[in-house]
Amino acid sequence: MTVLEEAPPLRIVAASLRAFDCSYSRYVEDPPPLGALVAVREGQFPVFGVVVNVESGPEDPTRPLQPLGEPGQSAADVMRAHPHIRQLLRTRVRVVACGYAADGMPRPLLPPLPPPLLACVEPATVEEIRMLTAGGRFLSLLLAAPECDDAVIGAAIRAAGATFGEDGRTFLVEAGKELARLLRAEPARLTTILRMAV
Amino acid sequence: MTSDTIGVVVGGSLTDGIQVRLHPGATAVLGEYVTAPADGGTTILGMITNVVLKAAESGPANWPPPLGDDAAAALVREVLLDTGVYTAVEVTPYLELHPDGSSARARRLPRHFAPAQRADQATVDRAFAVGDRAAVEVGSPLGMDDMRLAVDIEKLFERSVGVFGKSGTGKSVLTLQLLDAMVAYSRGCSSASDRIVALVFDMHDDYGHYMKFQGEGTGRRRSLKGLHPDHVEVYTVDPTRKADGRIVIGTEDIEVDDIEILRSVGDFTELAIEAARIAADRFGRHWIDLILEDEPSPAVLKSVWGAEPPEDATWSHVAQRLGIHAGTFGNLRRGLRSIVRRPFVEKGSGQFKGILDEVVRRLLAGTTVVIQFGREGRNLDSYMLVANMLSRRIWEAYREAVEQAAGNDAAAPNRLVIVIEEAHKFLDRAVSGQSIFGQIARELRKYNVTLFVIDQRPSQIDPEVLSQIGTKIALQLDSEADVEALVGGVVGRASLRQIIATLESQQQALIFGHAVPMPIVVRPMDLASDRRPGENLRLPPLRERLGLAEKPAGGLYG
Repeated sequence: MTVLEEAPPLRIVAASLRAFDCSYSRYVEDPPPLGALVAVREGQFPVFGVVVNVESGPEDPTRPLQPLGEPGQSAADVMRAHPHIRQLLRTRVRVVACGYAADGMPRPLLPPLPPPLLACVEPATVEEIRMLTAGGRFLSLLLAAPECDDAVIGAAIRAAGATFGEDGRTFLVEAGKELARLLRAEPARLTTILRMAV
Repeated sequence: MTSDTIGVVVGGSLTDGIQVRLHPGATAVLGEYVTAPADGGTTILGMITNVVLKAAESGPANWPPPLGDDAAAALVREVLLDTGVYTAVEVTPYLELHPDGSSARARRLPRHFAPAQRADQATVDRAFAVGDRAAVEVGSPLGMDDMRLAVDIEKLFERSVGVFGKSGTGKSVLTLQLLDAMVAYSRGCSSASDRIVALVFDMHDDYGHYMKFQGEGTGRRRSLKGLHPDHVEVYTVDPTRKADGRIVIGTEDIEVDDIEILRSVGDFTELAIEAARIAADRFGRHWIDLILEDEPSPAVLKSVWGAEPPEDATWSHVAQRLGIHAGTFGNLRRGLRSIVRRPFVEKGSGQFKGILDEVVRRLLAGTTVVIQFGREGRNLDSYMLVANMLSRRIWEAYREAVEQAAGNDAAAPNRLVIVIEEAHKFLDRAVSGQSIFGQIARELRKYNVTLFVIDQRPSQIDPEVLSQIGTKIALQLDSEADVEALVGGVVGRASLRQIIATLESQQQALIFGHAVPMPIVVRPMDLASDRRPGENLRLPPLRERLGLAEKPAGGLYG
């Protein structure tokens, strides 16, 4: 939360019902991590999603970043030495939708409408995460998304589990059972994901 | 006494049973009673006859989760339980319980996803229809320790009963509990003809004053005489033991039919029995004494040859003259010598007739009679001879009493249950056709006499006789042949066979047959050191309310 407050807002630059692309206005070192649950609270329905990809690079792909810096300098040292570079770079985040809120109640269903463009993307609150992920029903939307590989799903479960405190183990088992139901024909994949979720 | 849901119905058939998928965390054991609702308010009552570990898909079975204590492996295992793999039970449906209180054999099934619940006491009592009848509590269903199963006592002893199990499984304890309830029940009957009495051939002296007990506490428990001193009489064949009476048999009391049963223990060949008939026909009631003399007496010679017997005639000559092979005659004499050496056998005419009359009189008056064998219990010949001699004659007395009652339109005699141990010796294929015990089993209750057989080897019993045993109680049996003999021909025998195979070595019994509407697997009640008479007897509530036979706490009589 602190990091995002310090960084410029993360805004939606492309959106569909199933996924949306977001971007910072410059390069940031600590965007929401893989598997984090984020919320878009603007528009008719607040929409929730899971971070499936984070990438940083030049704003203009035709002008690639040069490997600046002297030997022994860290990335932070280089950025401090060349503060204008940060402005020429962008950090982009890809989010897969995994729920929306109706009447204030998060539901693990596909949102009826995509979130508005340029809407701010924020971390979901602990309460929202718990309500959305309890029982693991949100996993069916993730499994249906081509961008969600095993690492994404494992990270999403791990991130959600961290919000349950002492009940984290119970959440893991319940989400795992839902995953087992969804992946009943793919035991090896189930095992891989659960190993990543622990 | 609570009904709790253990799972949902997911399939099945009337022939193969209902499949119930257990809810996560739910457990169920073989023999438990389960109900599930069917159409029209009907409840299906069945018994768990198999527990199955299943995989929803082939994956978890082909790629089982890794072993090990690391968090990931533990999580995978926990996740797959009750999802990818699960536990199901097979429930054999036995009864339909209708909303109007009636019940019938199950002819329909619950629908898919019907909740399956553990049956409660009220449901089981209703199924066993013992609400308004005297019943004997036989124990608790497995896994349902708070429930007591009771069997209609009249129905139990209406036809022959068999208790089968290998040594040390608790046959004697269970038998004592049933007989104790029977005596207690009879004590409450106002007329002698309503009573059920037992004639117990007590090979190991377990059913007299005390029973040897290997469980907790003292090494013995009060037995039938100890519990019901005024309603049980004890006789003994061992002259060194004290009892209410002593059985003494005279050689002149022994008939060929009495010794024929000893063929099954190898004392006599079939030809020797034929030789005995020839000898008995020729020499009359003294035949045993005569042919056991060292040399043929003048009376024998005269009987065989007439006025001019040959000089120096030997037993071989006598046998030859009678058309008996010398070897066969020798076998007969050896067998008879073994009999007359028994301490309860006296030469000539003993007191047998008087004792027999006394025993019959007591039985008809409603007193249970226990014949103990003392040291002779180690001798199977003695046991079989006495049991056969008494049973043949007592059955004859009952037959006459029943026929007389029918002719005079009078009350029939009370019901008699003859209790024999090592029953396969009396009822094996070779002798059951001629044995009085085979006859009693086949005639069901025609003359108010039924059998209570206790045995370790049911496979040795003539299948025809075994099929006439109305109610069978099976404890642990090791031999596949014994299990098959018991359940062969019974509906649902595959599941019964499975149950018997899983019975523990003690305190578990399967009861099926005439007296119970469906097979039951029970853990018989303990034989407590402070056991009271009639502890297992459950009287109808109405009688209790009216105070006709008030049952004190823990027992019927003090």
